[in-house]
Amino acid sequence: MNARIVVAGAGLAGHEFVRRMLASPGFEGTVTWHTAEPGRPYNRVLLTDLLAGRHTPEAISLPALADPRLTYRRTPLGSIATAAFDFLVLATGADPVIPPVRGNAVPLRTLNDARTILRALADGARRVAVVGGGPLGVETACALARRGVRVDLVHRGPHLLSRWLDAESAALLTDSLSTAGITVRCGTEVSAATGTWPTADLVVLACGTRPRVSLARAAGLPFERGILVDADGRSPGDPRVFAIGDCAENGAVGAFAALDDARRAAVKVSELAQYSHPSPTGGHTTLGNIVPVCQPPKEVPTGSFTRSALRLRTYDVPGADVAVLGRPLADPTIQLTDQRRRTRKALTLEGDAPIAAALVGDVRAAPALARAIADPATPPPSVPLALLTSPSLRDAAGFDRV
Amino acid sequence: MELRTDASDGARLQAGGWDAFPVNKGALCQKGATSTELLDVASRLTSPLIRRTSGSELETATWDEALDFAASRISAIAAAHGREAVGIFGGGGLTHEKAYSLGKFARVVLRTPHIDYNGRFCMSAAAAASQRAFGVDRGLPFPLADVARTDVILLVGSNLADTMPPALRYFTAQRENGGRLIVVDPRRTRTAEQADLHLQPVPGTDAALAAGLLHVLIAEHLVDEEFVAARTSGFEEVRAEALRWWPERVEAVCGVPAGDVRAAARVFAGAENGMVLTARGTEQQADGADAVNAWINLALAAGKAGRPYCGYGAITGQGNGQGGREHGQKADQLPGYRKITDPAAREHVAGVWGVSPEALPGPGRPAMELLASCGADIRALLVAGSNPVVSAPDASFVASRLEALEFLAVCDVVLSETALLADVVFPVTQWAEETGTMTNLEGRVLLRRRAVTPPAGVRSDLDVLGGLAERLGVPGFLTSPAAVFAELARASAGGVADYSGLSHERLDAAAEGDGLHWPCPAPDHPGTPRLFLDSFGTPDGRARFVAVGHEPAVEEPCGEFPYRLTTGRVLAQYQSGAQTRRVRSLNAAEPGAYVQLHPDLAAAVGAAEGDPVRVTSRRGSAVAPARISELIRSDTVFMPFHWAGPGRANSVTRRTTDPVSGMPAFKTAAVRVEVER
Repeated sequence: MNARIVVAGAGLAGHEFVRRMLASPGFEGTVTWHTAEPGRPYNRVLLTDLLAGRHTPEAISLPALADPRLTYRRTPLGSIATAAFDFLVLATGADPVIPPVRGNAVPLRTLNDARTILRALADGARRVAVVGGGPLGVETACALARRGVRVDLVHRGPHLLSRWLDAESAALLTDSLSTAGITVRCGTEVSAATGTWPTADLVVLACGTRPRVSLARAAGLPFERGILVDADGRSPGDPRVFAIGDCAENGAVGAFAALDDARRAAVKVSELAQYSHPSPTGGHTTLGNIVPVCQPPKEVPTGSFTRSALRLRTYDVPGADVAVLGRPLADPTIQLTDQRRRTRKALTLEGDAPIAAALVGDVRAAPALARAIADPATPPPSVPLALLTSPSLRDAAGFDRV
Repeated sequence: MELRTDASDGARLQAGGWDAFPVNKGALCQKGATSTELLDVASRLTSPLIRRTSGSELETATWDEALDFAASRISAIAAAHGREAVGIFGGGGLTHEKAYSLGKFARVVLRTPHIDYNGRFCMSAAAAASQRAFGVDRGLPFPLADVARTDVILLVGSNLADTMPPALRYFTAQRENGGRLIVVDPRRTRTAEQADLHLQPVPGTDAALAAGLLHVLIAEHLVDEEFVAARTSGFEEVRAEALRWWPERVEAVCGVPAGDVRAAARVFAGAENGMVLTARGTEQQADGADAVNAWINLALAAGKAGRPYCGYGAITGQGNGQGGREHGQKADQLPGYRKITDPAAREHVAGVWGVSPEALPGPGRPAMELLASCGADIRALLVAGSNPVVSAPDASFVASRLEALEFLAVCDVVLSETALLADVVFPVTQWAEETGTMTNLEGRVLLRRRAVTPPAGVRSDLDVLGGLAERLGVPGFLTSPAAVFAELARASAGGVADYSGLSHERLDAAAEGDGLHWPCPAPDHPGTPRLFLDSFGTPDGRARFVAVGHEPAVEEPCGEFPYRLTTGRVLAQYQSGAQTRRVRSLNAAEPGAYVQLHPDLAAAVGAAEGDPVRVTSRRGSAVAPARISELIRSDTVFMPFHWAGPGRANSVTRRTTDPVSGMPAFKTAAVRVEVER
């Protein structure tokens, strides 16, 4: 059948879904792809690369998808409520959380935001405060430090990456960042309202994100923090509606999860598009006229098979590499700390099975740990400690420095 | 290699290194050194065999009987079911004269489109990728000796320390000269052991890894923009694709630490000169051609092509692996590496063959499809220089297809596993017993002179084709190697692989020179040791970037088949082993198949060293003793593929092919692993 597929959002998840849909064998329908952002779809992961001076903003476009079955539309997201579809894929991403701010503050979520920051740097901003010590905050601080900017990293939590790392790991990371010229202040709530605003030429906000759920909410589809979906990315409220990437709530976040979501949803939609019949409402299903069956799933699926829960991109700032794998780390079974090199590796076992790990400063073991933790087929290690020391992998450090 | 008779040992023939030979400087591997043993193995065939009625035993017959029988069966099948019901399956180890004659025999005598060969299982992905990128497919665009003088080598999916020992000297010399070696291989092989940096990816994820390295070049401003602008086309699309593969994503997909991806990219791009060399590990995949193009993209972006001591090359696997794919043994090809669909090529070759262009059939099916259609619309098959029952993927299926044929004829020197299924077996000459030419991986055309008299009762494959042609109503089919080569040279004139300036006489005279690399379009042309220095072989002279993505291997591990099998070769055996398994010293060194597995996997399945281990896929299973080793990933097992019987690795592999090249995906199969009790 000639399924009409409507996709909302042109971030990594939306792009990956459209790309896969067009490539799926035998697909004869159409894809209408809506985005609210101007310009070509781009790779949001590389926004911090822009700050580090690695690419120009034009260069991070995602590969162009030219296909006669595809229509690309720039539309306010609200207008999608009236678009007729057989399958709707919501990939609307997330909004940055913005605390009460003063004029020199900018979030880092869109290409426009990155341009604003680059312009400020070009105009002579020498001292930048980054608000938020989560993954984006640390990456942004590293990217800016790499281009020689003085960075104050301000975090309201007790220590950096407090959702991911224990205090000891975070302390090592903080030391490494300090050596690179990044001043870290934790336990500091920042607000223009309370007068704790940092002194800086520019303030970059990295205070987390909130999934964009407005379309789902308006249509009566179930959501909590994000839009609720099953393991295929389908809304329990209407089997024709999918949500993928940062707007979906499926137990996984980040770019890898977004790409995984897109792949699974594309597989499911191709399968459904092949075997389904024209919709009973005469082909005029829109978000505005669906009647959701509001039976939220009993439990949110842990969903995405994420090999890596957190993998920072830290621009060669020495010691700043971080990888967190599996469930949040609780009570590590094995811990290796090298105070002098500021590296720490912690592994939690359940019986003999590795279930979580955190690496700071030396992350070469990350791929092996990711497999051991996330891939059920990987045989358990006879010596779990070996997972942290990766004896079979040659140390490339010497190679790197030459 | 030189043959000598050792006086102290009667008249026994010995193979020795030929120090003046520019390719190996006299170095021989164990297989070369012991190759004279093959000339008088007890199992050598010396008489044609016929299976007179289906189900009966093979019996000895005279040559006339065998040729009459084969010709009459082929005629009958062609008459009843059409010419296209007859096919040919050749081999990459055949001389040019034989490979060319097989192609001509198919098109002129049988007039069938269906000819292909086992080189499809070996080189086709690299060949297709080279054609797309450079417009020319020659294994190496430079002499092998140049390897010693480049600054950095990125060697992908090759264990040449075991598979091509004489070439190792150049890699060793390169490192002694201060060069660096980066090896990409899921296994820590003897070759990887020598590398400065070893990247150990999940099998089948090479395209993503290559894109990751390219990503680093782009992100860190290491792209040679001047070279890209002046000598290539298509970079923009490839740049956009590469930006989807940031190193941390590559780490998650390929299992290679992001830091190693960066280190490899920086060293490769930072060197003055560099080469990318690929082999079967990256090529024998469901995306083999795309993966090779991803590596070529990297070389082009780094500006490491079309200059001395730079370039992309494929390390070939068979004796005449390069030449075997140049002169019409491939389903879509005419001599001179011409396309069979190109009207000008058809007209030229038809003119040389004295037939009308319209009489030439069109393209046939690539190897795996050809074998799969045996017993269906292909009812008769002639096999020469190949043992697909062992060497083809999903070998039980292939054997069942060959058994379903109405007629199978096989030319071989021993009674191979494939010959055992045949209705007629022709005993043919082998290397030292015949004169013939071959082209090595450098595009260097070599004459191998006849050194010994073949055993009585043995004839050349050329005689088999001549005898059959005559009986099928096309007399005068050339059987003298020199005459066949002269015709081949004319047929190749003006093609990509132009041999028209070559002859047996010239090759004989020039045998110790360095100059007879194709293209060699005139008798006074010195040959072309280095291609692309001024221009690539594409219509606009620019090398082409090819935008390729990466999709997960078609057969991802799952609950029932949770591990990956990858296959390859060992030092002491060659191809399907039909020859090397019959050489005493080689067999003693490596007597049988084995399953290499990591200690953790061995512990998980309860296998101790030497225990019989069964490796099972959706196709079938193989059993071989466990060899426990930390040199392999714990989610992957390795088996060498040289053996028949229970240890036949290809019982397990899959016949899914790369859509671009027809290369089967030998190197990745989802399997389960159990100890056989």
